[in-house]
Amino acid sequence: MLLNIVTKSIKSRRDLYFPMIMAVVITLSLIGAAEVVGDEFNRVIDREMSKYGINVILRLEEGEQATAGVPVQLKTASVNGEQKELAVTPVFSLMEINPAWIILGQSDYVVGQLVADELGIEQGDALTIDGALIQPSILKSGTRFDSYIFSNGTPQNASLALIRTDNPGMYEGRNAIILKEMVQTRYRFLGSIESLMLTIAMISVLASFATVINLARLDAGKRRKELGIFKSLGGSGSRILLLISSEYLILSLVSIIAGVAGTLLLSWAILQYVADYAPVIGLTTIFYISGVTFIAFGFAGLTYMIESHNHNVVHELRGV
Amino acid sequence: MISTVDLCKDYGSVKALDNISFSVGRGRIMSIMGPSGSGKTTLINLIAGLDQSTSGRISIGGTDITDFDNDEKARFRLEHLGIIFQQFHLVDYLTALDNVMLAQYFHSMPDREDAMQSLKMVGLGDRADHLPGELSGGEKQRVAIARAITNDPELILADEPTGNLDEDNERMVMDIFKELKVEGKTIILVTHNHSLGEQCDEVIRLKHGRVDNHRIRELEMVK
Repeated sequence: MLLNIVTKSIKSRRDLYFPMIMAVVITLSLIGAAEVVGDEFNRVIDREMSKYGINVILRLEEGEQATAGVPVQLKTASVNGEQKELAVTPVFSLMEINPAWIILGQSDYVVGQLVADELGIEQGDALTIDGALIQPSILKSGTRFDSYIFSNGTPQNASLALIRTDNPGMYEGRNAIILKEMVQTRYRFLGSIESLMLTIAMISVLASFATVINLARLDAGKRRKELGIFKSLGGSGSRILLLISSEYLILSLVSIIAGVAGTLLLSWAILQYVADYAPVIGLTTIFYISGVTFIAFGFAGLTYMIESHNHNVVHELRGV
Repeated sequence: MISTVDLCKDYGSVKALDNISFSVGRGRIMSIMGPSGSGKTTLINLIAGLDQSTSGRISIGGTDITDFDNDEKARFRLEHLGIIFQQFHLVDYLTALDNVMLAQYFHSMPDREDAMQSLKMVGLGDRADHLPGELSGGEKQRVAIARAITNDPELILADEPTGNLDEDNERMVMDIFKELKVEGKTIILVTHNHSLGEQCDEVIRLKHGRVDNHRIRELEMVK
């Protein structure tokens, strides 16, 4: 009976509910499509990057030698009062640990475990290199580092190193090209579209919420007589609230479904020119769409309750 | 069955009802009559719990409903009252059967068979699937009656139930009320129709919000 009343009520109010749903669906489509475009932006970057196999091109500086796969410098280190000549290298350019090296990084100092054992140092001990006191971290053997391909095929006198790394951010500030940044620049129009759509979506959220709330107020006014009939028949506040809430729940579900369809359509229209694009709506997008919908119709329901609260039944039956 | 004691209703400085006291027993039909503005509809609204009196007491079936809150009044209406309005007050988008089942929905569980039975009782079994917009005035009023009786209330309140009806439909409605009276129901109806009033067991005449005359068929009382 509840479903019967609710569906017939919705059908009788389609002139009011249709614009309500449309306002919400337009907003949902913008938000959803912005999310999809943003996700696709990241996927496109990853697809492009996977084609290259490397993600950083490093120009080796003068004086830097590449020995056994890594550029190194020779430094004199004072260890427990003894002078030792050690090869040092920036930590972010290490290919494999050579147990004879101390690694000198821009922000961190690391000593290979075997070197540490050989030098007799432990975590927290200090070394002096070029007059500076450093406290290196002990780096365990077998730690994975970046991979190198050298421009002239050998590590000696190489001018460029092509690097595959899990942490390209470490090369910022060096004489390096971060390939991801290049690809991001090439596809930055997707990022711009995403930002533009989000901006429009935010404005649309405000407009659609205002529309929904005003239409709910109008509906409450028009339904005053109907509510009076329900109350005159003995309808309690909670039973009447159940009727109204059920209507708004159905409107929400319809809006979510239409919002997902709108998202697919709008994102396809924007992204059809991107290679290998296939519309994918993730859980996050559906979460945002559902959240905005329930908030919008929640506000509508609340407005309705406020407008219809505590009216005199006699006045309601007169439609006043 | 129902009694009022010194019932008053003020709208600002206007006294719509002024110390109305009466009682009517079970299984009786009582009409409330009087000119426009005499307080007939106000009185029936108070008895139905649709409005709040300014002072005085109302008792129905031994229960004093004067101080009930809105939800308590709604529950009381559900359990004990059936209300029929002059304007019918049917829900436009529900069929005749749905309108009757609506009263059942608020009461407990809708029962299609019972609702159909109520419609058949008022001669509208074949119009169950019609919307109010597809029914005549007399048919709408009969749907309203079916809705009012479907939960088997003890007391039926009718505000100008034949006000918008022709003679034939008016007769039909009164016949239904007489049948309900035989079943032991108490009926209070507001009317300005003298011929209708004369068919009732008791007649209360209001004038300027006061009881001007209370006529009982077996006993004449003049105030």
